[in-house]
Amino acid sequence: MEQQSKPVAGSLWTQSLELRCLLCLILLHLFCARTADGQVQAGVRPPVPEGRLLVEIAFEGDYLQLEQITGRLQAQVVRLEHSRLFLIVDQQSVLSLRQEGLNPRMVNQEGFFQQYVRVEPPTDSLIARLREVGGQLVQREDSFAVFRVTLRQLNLVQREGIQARKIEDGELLPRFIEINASDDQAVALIISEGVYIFEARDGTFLGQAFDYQIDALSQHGLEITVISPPFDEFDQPRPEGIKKTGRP
Amino acid sequence: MASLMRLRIRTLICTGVLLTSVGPGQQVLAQYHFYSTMQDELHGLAMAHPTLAQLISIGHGWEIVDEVNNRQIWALKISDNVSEEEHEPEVVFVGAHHANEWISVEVPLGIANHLLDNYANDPSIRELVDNKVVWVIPMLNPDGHEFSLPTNSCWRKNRRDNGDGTFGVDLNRNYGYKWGVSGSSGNTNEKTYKGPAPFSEPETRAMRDFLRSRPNVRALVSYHSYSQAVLRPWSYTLNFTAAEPPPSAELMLKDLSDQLRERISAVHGETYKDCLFQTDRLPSGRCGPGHYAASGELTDWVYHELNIPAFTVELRPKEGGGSCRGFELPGAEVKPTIEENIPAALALIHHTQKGNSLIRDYEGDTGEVPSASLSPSGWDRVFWASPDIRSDPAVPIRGQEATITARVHNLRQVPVNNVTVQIWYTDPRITLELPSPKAVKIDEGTISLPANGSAEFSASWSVPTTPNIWGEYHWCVGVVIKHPDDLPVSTHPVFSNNIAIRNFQPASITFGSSALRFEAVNHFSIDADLDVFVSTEGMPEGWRVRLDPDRPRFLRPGERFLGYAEVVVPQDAEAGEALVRIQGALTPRRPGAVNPVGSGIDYRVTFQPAPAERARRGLQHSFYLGFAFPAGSFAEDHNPGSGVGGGLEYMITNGVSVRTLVEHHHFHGDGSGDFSYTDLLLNARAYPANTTWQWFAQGGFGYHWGDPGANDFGLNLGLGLGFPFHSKSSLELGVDGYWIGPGGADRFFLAPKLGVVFQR
Repeated sequence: MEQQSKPVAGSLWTQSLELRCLLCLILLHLFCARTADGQVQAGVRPPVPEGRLLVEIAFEGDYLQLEQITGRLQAQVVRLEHSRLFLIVDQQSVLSLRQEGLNPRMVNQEGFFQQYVRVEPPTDSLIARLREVGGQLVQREDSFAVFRVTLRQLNLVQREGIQARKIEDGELLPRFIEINASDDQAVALIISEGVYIFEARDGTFLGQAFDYQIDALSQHGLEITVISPPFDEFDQPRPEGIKKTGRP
Repeated sequence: MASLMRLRIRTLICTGVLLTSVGPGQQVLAQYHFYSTMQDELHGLAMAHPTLAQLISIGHGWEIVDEVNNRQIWALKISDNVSEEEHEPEVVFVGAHHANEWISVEVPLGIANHLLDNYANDPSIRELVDNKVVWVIPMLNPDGHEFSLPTNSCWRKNRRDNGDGTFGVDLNRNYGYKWGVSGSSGNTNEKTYKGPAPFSEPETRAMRDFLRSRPNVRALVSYHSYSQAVLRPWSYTLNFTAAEPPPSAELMLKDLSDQLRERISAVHGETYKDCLFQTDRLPSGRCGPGHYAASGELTDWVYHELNIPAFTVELRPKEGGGSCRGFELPGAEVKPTIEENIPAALALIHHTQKGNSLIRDYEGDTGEVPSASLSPSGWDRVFWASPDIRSDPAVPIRGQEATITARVHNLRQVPVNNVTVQIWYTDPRITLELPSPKAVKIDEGTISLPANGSAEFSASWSVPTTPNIWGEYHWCVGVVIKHPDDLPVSTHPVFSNNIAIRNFQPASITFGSSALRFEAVNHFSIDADLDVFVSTEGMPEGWRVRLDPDRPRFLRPGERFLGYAEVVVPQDAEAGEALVRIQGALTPRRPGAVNPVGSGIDYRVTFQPAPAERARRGLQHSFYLGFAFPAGSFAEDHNPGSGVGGGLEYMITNGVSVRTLVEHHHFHGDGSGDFSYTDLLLNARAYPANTTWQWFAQGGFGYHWGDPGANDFGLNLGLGLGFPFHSKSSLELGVDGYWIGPGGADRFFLAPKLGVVFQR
């Protein structure tokens, strides 16, 4: 039977192109698919629809000029950042942009798009490796850490076997903080770091911040205290592993 | 205690019933609404008051509910004849940009309930509703609010799926003006995430498109929590410097803001601050330490694009609990918070109306706004020549005092006291807004207006000796009137019956081809079409105005164009004058509502032919009398005598002429008898300067017949000064020296003379 079956299988494999393609697709699907708990296994793809392009143009205009451009080109604005406008457009729009002298440049999507990913356990070596490839540590909890990475960085570390998955809604929560800031410059610094302030009392600001913001402000010499509020952001218990830091 | 309070709020929400009883016909106010209960209440109000309230959706959030539908952004329109477009002033109250600021839903809802519940019985409410349109948009962020209200009092943003594992954009950082400049974040995980681009969110686009579609919106309030403050533009900057000046309407905004704060405090004694964390602003008008910048914010965009007052009201509590507890205002404070904000809202609605007092933009102005409009043929009504502003003297004189008088009219049948009248002057090249930090206040006072009558206020104006920034002696005097019941809500004369202006040109300008200048500057951030129109009054026959043929059709943002209009006067024109009015308008090439802006300048052009010009054209003849003084050896045997002469002069150019003269000089004899010369002279004369008093020098040769004997040739030189005393006549005073018989008789004499010259 074995002698008979081998030629059959071999024959099928060698003779049926369709079968080979099907097997390849199944393997590819399995390779790319997430596990049941949502972990990305490999090959995170950028979200630009097929047939459309991610381009970048220099843009110094204001919102009214942005309305004019997007209205004219049927373009989807992905991001406006530092006088650079990133658009998802079709080929025709690329030609239109060139004709208008706007000089569109193609953007590498894997280096452009970012994800917030959860890795665990948050060992020093794991964090060091993620930082080494360019990821930014957003928050470090007891049992996991959250990084901001580009898709290229994510694919890189996943090929190394690091388990990283996109965070779920509500997993990344800023900490409640108190900051002492007595002058305009300090307040401007706090705001420029993206820290959310909702109250001030006698030079002490109450707000919320992530670890990277707390670190940045601390490096500027600001006195920051992570506080435990009388209740959490959610009434429900915090997702497992999120620590309650700060003073009792 | 905190837990107990929290439990009580939840109980109220779950049951939807307030324990506190209120009067019949009034709505239960002190509760937090979910999206669904808010929607039900708005529908209920519209159904209960079908002639007064109409519910429309202005847009929706991101999230799909019920598998197909988005949560809608509901706007309740309140007015009499609500289904009609009556072109009445409109005011917008919007809440819940931020999901967790639950009280900000309740206040605009409370305003709607107050207006509708009291319409039937309260004449003051009926007066407002009948003459205005009030828009109540209680929940701009329905997705975020729905996510926040049950359990998450820290959730602030909307519910955009950012695609990277995070959710939400801070809607009050997503508006277009100064988007991303300060006080917002580019990181999607942060609470002040500004979004990927200005107006990237359906909620902010809905608000933008709604406001652009309502050209009669005159004021807006955006409710937030917490900290108890009334904030005004700008939010994007804290630096009120030359580079980032305060809004041009800062003084008006402050007036309104102060009144809103006062009216709020008057209800329950709660103080609403002038800054986020400070009761009062610094003398510069900015907020001090603690207050922080926030760009991409609604009121900045509204003020910038729609040019109307817009305020952010931070509601109760004054302080929170160190976490997000401050956003969960205890149930017992909900009703007082609504109550204390209603009078302020009513005052703002009230101020958008015609008002009780008026200063007119034109004869027959009844106070309706706008009082002028721009069409392709120009302003349909001149609004910079208010009949209620006058100067004594009528044309102010540079460097002297002029008395400016403003006449204010009372539109009511009862007297009005304590009307504040401010008189300002501005450089119209800089601003026509009043009051303005860029204008100079001449004086301020209060007057009392009789019932259905008028009263005047006068002030002394030191008319500037210097020209304005364009080198023109052209100033705009403006008058602002205000009363606690009648504050202006616009700094533009066209949009306010509390403001009027009048242009003055303190002196006649020098005539010349480049004298009638105008400037156009595109202060918009986009291209704007430029239209320039010229009209004249009293133009003498034969005069015409030629408009700068090189003027552009449009201006780029920030572009400045200096043009001119040339008054062409025919040759030999008599003296005359005319009024030349140059009007300009810039129309931004922007989508949506188009509000052209423009202004005008009046030039009074005078033409006075210069006497010097007349003296130097064509043929003229002269006659003179004088003396003759012999000199040298000629004086040894002859005494001084007299002279008489006349001649013709032909002007070759403006400064040179040739003259032929016949003269007779008589000398008394010194024991040997009298002697005389009859002279035929040919001279050239030069006028070195084109001045009113004309210096001249002349010289030439001639033949002199002596009596007795001694005929001979001679040379003569002279100097003199002409004094025009008539358009065709002048006096001349001069002296000539004669040298007769050079090399022979060698006789010298000097002849001072006084003559008169007639131009033919």
